[in-house]
This record gives sequence, structure tokens and C-alpha cells, in this order.
Amino acid sequence: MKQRQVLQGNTIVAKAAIAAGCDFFAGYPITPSSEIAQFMSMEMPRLGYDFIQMEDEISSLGACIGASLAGKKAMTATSGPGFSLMQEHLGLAVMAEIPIVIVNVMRGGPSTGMPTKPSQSDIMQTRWGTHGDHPIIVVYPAFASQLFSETIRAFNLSEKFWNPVIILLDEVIAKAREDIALPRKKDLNIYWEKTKQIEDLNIYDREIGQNPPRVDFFKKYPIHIDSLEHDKHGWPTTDPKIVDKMQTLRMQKIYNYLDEIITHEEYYLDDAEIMVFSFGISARSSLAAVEMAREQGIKVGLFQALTIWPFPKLLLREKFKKIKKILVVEMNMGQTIYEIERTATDDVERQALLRANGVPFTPTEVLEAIKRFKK
Amino acid sequence: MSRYEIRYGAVGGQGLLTAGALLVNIAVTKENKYAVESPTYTASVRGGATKVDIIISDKRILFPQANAIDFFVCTEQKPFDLYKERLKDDAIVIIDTHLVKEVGNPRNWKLMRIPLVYETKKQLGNIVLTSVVTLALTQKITGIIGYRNMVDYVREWAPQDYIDLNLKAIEVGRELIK
Amino acid sequence: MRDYERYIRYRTFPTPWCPGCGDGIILKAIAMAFSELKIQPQDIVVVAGIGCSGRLPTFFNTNTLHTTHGRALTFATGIKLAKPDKTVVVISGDGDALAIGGNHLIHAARRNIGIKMILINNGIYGMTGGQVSPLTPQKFITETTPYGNIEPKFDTVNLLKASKASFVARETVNRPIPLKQVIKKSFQHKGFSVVEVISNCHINLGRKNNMKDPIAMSRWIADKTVTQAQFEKIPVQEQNTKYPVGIFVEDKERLEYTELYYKHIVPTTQAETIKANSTAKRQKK
Repeated sequence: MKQRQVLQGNTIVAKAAIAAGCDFFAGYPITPSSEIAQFMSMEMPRLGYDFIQMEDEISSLGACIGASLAGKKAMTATSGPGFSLMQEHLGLAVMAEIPIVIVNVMRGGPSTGMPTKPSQSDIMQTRWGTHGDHPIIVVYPAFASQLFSETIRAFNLSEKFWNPVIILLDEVIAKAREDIALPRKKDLNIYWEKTKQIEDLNIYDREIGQNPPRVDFFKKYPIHIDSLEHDKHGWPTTDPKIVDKMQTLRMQKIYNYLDEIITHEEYYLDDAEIMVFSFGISARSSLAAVEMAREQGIKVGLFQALTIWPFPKLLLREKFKKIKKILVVEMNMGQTIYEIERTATDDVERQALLRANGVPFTPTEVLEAIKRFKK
Repeated sequence: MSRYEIRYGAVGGQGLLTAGALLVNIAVTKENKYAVESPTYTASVRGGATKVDIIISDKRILFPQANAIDFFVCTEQKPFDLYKERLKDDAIVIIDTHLVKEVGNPRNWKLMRIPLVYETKKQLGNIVLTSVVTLALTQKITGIIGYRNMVDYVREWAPQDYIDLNLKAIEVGRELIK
Repeated sequence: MRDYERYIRYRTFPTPWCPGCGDGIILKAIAMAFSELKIQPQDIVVVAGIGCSGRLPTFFNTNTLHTTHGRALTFATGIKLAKPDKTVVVISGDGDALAIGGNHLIHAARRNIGIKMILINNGIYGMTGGQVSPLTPQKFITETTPYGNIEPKFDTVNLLKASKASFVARETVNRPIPLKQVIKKSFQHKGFSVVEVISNCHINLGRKNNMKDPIAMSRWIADKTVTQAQFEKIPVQEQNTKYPVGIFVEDKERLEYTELYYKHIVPTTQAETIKANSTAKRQKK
């Protein structure tokens, strides 16, 4: 039997990162994510890996990108205000196609907001925070076991698709100490991309839809990496034809693999008349509410999004063929509800339970919303 | 027992986070139950009002914070005022005799006043041990974890030189609610 | 082909710089330093931010990284920590290093991480068309100081000294041989090194200040260049208009950051872990 133990959410993520092969961490202290950096500062040197506390979040992500280019699996962790600072380099990681994992433990915003209170209001920022069109992968675990598995998945996805992956966490879950049975090392599925040995500068030379290979500095052939729009050699260009191709390459490497990227959990949806759509702490309240409602004979189920970007549009559309009522539960003033609006067909009734005052919905509150919706 | 909710309210530095962590660890590692500890804290760690919710259950815990509290221990007025919401009508409520004066409407609570902080300081010399004292009285009143398991765990957890002091703290806690 | 040309990526020519720009001299001086020190191109990474200086790395036939404005040092820090045995060079302009990237500069200096920085000071934002920079001399006319610059410039050397930099030097593009020598010396230094290179931007700074060709600007630079001994004798109120050259700080004693991390922190923690594990095992028995 696997050994059950009590770990804080932040610690679970840090442990999972190391299990996924993370050997470089750069960060800057910020509530409520600091425990990740603290854990890493203890563990990384013990393993012969790198830890550095940088002068701000901009430099933290910069250092991670540098390390990633030097062949490391790098991660940083932050919260809203720090994540805002990171947008600059998030864009660079997308543009230059550099694998990197960023943890954002959300807190009340905007600005410095409520540092010690939970919120789910950075969802749109993770999608559109950095300027320019770009693909992004965002995973959003809720239960202790998911914190571990989704962190592993985040590293695998970033390594495979050569793209930054963001892990969104709720303050409540990151700070809670919870029981978890950590998987054994041999049961883990860790993805390592072999470094491609190249003979020329043509590091971005591939067909649309193909996964990019990993290229590192300090191999036989010296390479060039650029934050400017570039051609197949990484060389700056503004030639519209080449730009078209490069933009499509970057988008399609994600959008051709949606089945592989998008994951979710569903509960009691088979015969449901109402579907609750939620994630993170709100999904946990919602699941408790769904179970209470089922005891009262209400046919309701839960769709828990584990991958929030790319948005699980096709999966939801499949559900909407049968389920005609959807209740979105999120701790913000309305974000994924707009995505649902774009996804749902006209015959689907939509409601949202929204709140961003730092207090998570209790199961009772969600249950009441379900009951109101049913009427 | 399907879901039992405990809340400790205090000011930072009184060690109630530790009490919660101990309780959760004992429930998980010694009794193979599901348990979670959710802290809520204000900006300053020391001196600010804090609470910690502990949920213990035989089933996987969905909502990790308290929703209908069965057992509440509070050692200061400010956290009492802030965190007494969500108590069940018949909750067991333990407050510090000297530090919580205003109770308001006690509904159907089983209310107990004990000199928790004063006795800890007097008998053990350090209010950090409020944590173990609180753990012991929680165990005795609620029976949510076994006495033997508690003693075993505290013995393993405490640093070598402080085992006896911590075991004494358990006794102090049990004495307080005679 | 001369050996230093191995370090130049001719296929990416022509450069975007204006005719007569000092950046070409700096490019060659750095390539010659690489060559004379016999560092292999694949063991070097040249990192830069934004600006005319930001385009320099792309012309090196080494690993090269063109990044965001002012942040080159942060990427370089990650690379150096990940691969301490590699040569990590940062090329930066005055706006890049001292305005938007000022914070990164002082912290890299404080950490003493073994990055070799070449700070090209042309006193202007060239690529954006000639706006005032933190190193533009006072009273100079720029696109954003049409009535003359009222802000004093940074004293780069003393700023870096105060930030505990372990190698600080200054040279000018007027003196390519001493420039190459001092760059070479900075590359041999273990900790964080900065070589400030006074360069000319006759197009965006010179033209508005009666120095419209490279010769005029180079005369101006020559006029402002003094030795450190000469500098001492200048009245304090005039010192800010002169550029003393040479090496100002060379502290060989101070340990470099990655050396401290890998030779001190890592082995110590590992030894402690082994000790703790064996104690735990013994106790179990």
C-alpha cells in the first residue's frame, strides 16, 4: 500500500515538480506561494540542482528561461502581482518556444488586492495576459492527488510542446495541509524530450502540426534564439509569408493535439439535467453540493475542468447535446462564463454563481444555486 | 463518523496551527482517516487573528473548510468575534476564561470556559504548548482520535529533549476539562 | 581567414547599424578576445536585450540569445547557474542596462555571478530614434529633451562599486587595442565583470549637438577621455563631464556565485542529508 501522509498543497506541487525532473527553480517571495520557493531552497541543493532567489518576478522567469535553454527543466512560482510582472517573459517563452512551468497561486485582486484571500480571477489573465496572439496551456488541479498529477502533466506538456505551461492554484488548496498518497517513482510517466543534434541554425524548421524538438545551447552547433519574430533559423524577420507560417506553427502545435492536452473529471453527469461547470476550490464545493442535491433527488452533475486553456469546448458541446442547463461556479466577477456563452448552443440555459470577496462558496451555497436554477 | 468539523481560533503565535497539524497527522497516519487542515491568516503572522479549520472524515473530503462546525476552541476575543460564524447550533464551544469575555448569543452551544492560556503558561512555562494542551482536550472531549495514538504520535513528533514536556502538556489538557 | 573570424556569423550580415557606428569595433574586439583566449564558440553564449546593442549577439557565431529590454542579465543568470563552466557574455546599452535594467545590473553585481558584461555607452536611445538616456550628458539636446537635458547622468563606475561589483573597467571605441585587452581581462575574471565602452552615436546624439559625423564624435570622446591619474586632478564639479578609463575594480578574492553554490552549499547540504539519513537508519535499528 502506498504511504499516506499529510502535506501542504504548495509542498505537493514542489515535490511533484522534482519528481517530474525539475532541476532549476528561480523565484521571488510572494504570499501565498512562498512555501514552494522555501521547499525548493531546501531540496534543490541537496539534489545537486539549482535554486536562486531573484530580485523580482521578471528576473525569476528570465532566469528560468535561460536555464531551460541550457538544458534544464525549470519552474517558478508566484501569485497575481508577480504573475503580472511575468507577462513580459511569458511572451518570450511562447515566441521562442521554450519549455517552462509557472505556478500561479491566485489571490484576491486586482493590484495587490487581498494577499491572504483566495480568488479565481486570473483565469483570463493566464489566457491573454501577455501581448500578442499566442497559444497557452493552463492546468487547474483541485484535489491533493490532482496537485501532484497535474504538476507532472504540466512538465510533460511543456517539454513535449515546447511551450510555457501554467499551473493555477487556489490559495485555500495551496495553504491547506491534506492527506495524500504520493505515487511511487516507477508509476510516474515522465516525458523527456531528447535533444536534437543540429547541423545548422534551422532550429524552427518543421512542418505545421509537428511537435518541435528540444534544442539546447552548448551543443555541437551554436544556435540563435530570438524574442523577435523569426524564420526557421531563429533569425529576425518581418516577411509576411514567413510570419504567417511561424504563427501557424506555434498555434497548431497546441491546437492539433487538443485530445492529448485537455483533461477533465466528470461526476454524476450520465443522467444529469443540470451540469455544474467549475474548477479548483469551487469545483470541490460544487461536488459536495452535487452529492447533497443527489440525495434530495435532483439530477445534477459536475464537469471539473482540469485543463482550463485550451478551453474544453468540444467536450462541453458534446454534453450540451443532452444537458440543457449549465451552472458556472467561479470565484470571480464572471470569466469562464463568457467562454461558456461562446460554447453553448442557443437552447442551453446558462447561469453563473459568482463571487470575488475572498470567501469560497460553501457547498450549501452552491446547493441553493442549483435549487434556484432547477425551478 | 462521516464529517467532523473542528475550528481553532487564536492570535498568531499561540501554536494553534500546530495543534491542527498534529490532529490531522494523527488522523491520517495513525487512524487511516481522511483529514485536512485549512488555515486562514491575516497579514502579520504574529499577533493577528487566525483560525484553522480541521475536517476529519471517513470519506474523501470535498470542501476543505468548515461549513457546520462541531467543535470550536478559541483563546482570544477578536478571533472569537470573527470566526464564530458557521458554528452548529449544538456545537461544543470552548473559550479561554480570561481572554474571551463577550460571548453574545450562545444559542444551544455546549459552552465551556477554561483558563487555557493561563494554566499552560503556569504549569508548562511556555504558551507555545497551548498547541498540545488544545490537542489533548480536543481528543478527550470529542474522541475523534484515540488517546493512545495521540500519545504515540506526540512522542514521535517532539524533539528528543522535549518529549516529557509535551507528554506533560497532554496531561495538563486532560486535567483542564475534568 | 583570421582566427577571430571564426567567432563572427558572416551569414547574418549586413548589420543594422549606421555607417561609422562604434558597435562594429566592439564586435571585433570581443571576437578577438574570444580568439586569443581560445574559448570554443559552442561553449559561449552571448545574450543581449533591446536596442542597437541588442543586435550585436546575432553576429557572433556562438550561441546567441536576443531577449527583452533590459533583462539580458536575468537570462544570463539562469544560464550561468545551470552551466557554470560556460562563458556567458551580456551585451547591453546604456538605456538597457541602467534605465529599464538597472535593478538587474546592481543585483548581478551584488551576487558576483560570473557573467561578463559589455556595457556600450553611447549616451542615447539610438534604435528608437534618439531619446534621452540615463547616461546622456547634461544640457545635450535629444528627441525628448528638446530644451536640453536637465538630469545628471549615472556615475556607472561608482554605482557598480557600491553594488559590490568585483571587476569594473571603462574604455572607448577610440582605443580598440586597449579595449580588446580590457575585454580579454574581464573574460578571465571569475566573478561579475563590467566593461563600459564609450561609443559614438553621431546620427542620434551627435547631429543634434554639433557633432554630425563619426570623426566629430570621436574627437569629442577623445577630448573627454582621461586617465585615472589625470581624473584625480580635475576639479570635482567638472569630473562628471569626463570619462576616466582603465580598470577601476579587480577583486580576485571574492568568490563567484556559482562557485559558492556548487562548491559550498550543494556539498554541505548533501553531506547533511547523508548524515541525517544514516542517523535515521541507526535509530530504526
